[in-house]
Amino acid sequence: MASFFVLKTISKLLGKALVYLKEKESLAKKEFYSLPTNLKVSMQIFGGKTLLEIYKKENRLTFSNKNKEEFNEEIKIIFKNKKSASACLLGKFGVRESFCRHDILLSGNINTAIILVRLIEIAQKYLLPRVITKKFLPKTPKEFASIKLYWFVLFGSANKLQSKENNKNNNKIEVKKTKLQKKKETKEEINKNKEKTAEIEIIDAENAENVTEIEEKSQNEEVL
Amino acid sequence: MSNYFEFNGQVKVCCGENALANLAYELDFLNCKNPLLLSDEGLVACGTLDVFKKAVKPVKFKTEFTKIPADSSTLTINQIARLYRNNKCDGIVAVGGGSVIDTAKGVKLVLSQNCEDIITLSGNEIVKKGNNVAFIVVPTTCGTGSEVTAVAVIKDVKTKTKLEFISSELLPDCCFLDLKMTQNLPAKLLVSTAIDALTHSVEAYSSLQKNPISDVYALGAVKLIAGNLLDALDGDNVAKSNLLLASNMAGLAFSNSMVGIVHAIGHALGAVLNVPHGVAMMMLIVPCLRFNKDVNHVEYSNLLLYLTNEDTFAYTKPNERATTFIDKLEELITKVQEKTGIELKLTDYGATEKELDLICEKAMNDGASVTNNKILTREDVMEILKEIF
Repeated sequence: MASFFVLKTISKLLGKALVYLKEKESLAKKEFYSLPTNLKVSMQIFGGKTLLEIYKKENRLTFSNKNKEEFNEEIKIIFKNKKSASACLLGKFGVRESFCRHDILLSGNINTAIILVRLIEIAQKYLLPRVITKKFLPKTPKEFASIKLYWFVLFGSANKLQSKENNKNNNKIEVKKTKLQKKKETKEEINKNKEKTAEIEIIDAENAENVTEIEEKSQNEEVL
Repeated sequence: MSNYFEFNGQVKVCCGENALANLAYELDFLNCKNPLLLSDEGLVACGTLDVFKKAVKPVKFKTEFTKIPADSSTLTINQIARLYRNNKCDGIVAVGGGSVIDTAKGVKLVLSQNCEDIITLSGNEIVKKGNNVAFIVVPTTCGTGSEVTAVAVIKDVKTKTKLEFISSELLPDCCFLDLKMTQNLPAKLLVSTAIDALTHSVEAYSSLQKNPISDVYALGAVKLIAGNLLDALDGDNVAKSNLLLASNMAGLAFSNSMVGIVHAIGHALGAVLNVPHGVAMMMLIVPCLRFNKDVNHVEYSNLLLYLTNEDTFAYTKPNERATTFIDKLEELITKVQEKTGIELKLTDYGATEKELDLICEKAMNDGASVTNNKILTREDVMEILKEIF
């Protein structure tokens, strides 16, 4: 059974892994974006000891394992004791089996919690070796090597990654915007040109009428 | 199956002929002198509530609420809790099907925890033991088994989502299984609720949370349903009583072992298309069992004995028993469907291809998907939905 300090450390690594995965792994990204906005989740051991607090704010995921007062989480995942927490987080049992063993209490909307279960399973797929996960996860292909995740979890910065990805996305959005703007501009130009040609045609038509009037007048004068 | 499990069977079951005649004694045992009667307008209209009141004489109910809607909602629960407090009631007697019983459970939870809004109590095993509130349930269908389950599903009116509550604090003190309450159930309702009970048993026996005690109840329920469903459809009262008992046993089984993919998708069909729960079970049980067959072949092989008989079991090769079980189940459902004319395609309930994505999403996020023995993916669910489309 791991000590509380070890469990806290593992939970923090899990939080960091979730940040990386929600940027880089397509399924995790989909699950993350299906979570309600401004969702606050805390993972605890029964008796009030906080392991991890997660906050989804718009497109960012922040995490902490300091017990913030007035966190006001919507979902609380509570392990009944340290043994249950160790068994689940270290992969002795999967999250689903931990639930079936009544190792986990849950306060809040169960439907939202299930999305979190899938996110944790995705994280475990990358963090834990296959020898451990084969007991509770089916074999599915990884989108990148686990070593990349380990590197990030140990040395990377969650804030930097999310800012970088946000900038990328903003650039993409800007590029899209400029492309759209260009399209709009060209459309507007075409419409303006059309209007101009229409005006010219009207002027030409008017001029043509004037010319015919003048010609008629001159003809009439000649006749006279 | 895990090497640790929990089983809670604390509800007293009073079952059999004239069971309701003992209600007065049970209320006295629970120190309840002013119970609140809960029911719905359907039961008032068809006379079942009058039959109940006659059967429980000399018990009289000074306070009644008989307008529980088809779906339990947080608004109704809070309203009933206020009625209970204002009339100084000291117990609840719920007479009805799943919605009435779930509503009554919600009311009991609010009262025992002394809170104003039930939403704060949603979750799994998060509620502590509270104040004592005498609570008796009389089911009027033979499918849900809600009279013995520690689960309630209640609609949050504000967010329009269904909230799940799992707690032993939801359990009644006592329930009454009296044929008088289900004798005149229409054939379609009898069949669909019986198949719901059968699904509870099969899923409880093959779920990730299965345990040896639940297994006994599940197998017993399968045997009772298989042996009595067709006779009950022909009007046999003993068979109808047995179905009521089977539903209770199935409820006890799945309350402790949970269910799986059939219920996960079935709940989603109910939420999106308003498909009646029992009918959804009839639609889904066969394709879902085929999906689970590779991980549950031992369980399905064992179930063949209880669904059929010793001869069929013995003469079927061991490696074919799981397939034969599913085939026999399909035959049973086809028989009852032909007798009752129940429609079993999604298009019969107004489904279009556009709704399949939403149904899939809801099924994936249903609590029952966690305890299915095989992990679901969206593709798996879509395949099953297209099969029954």
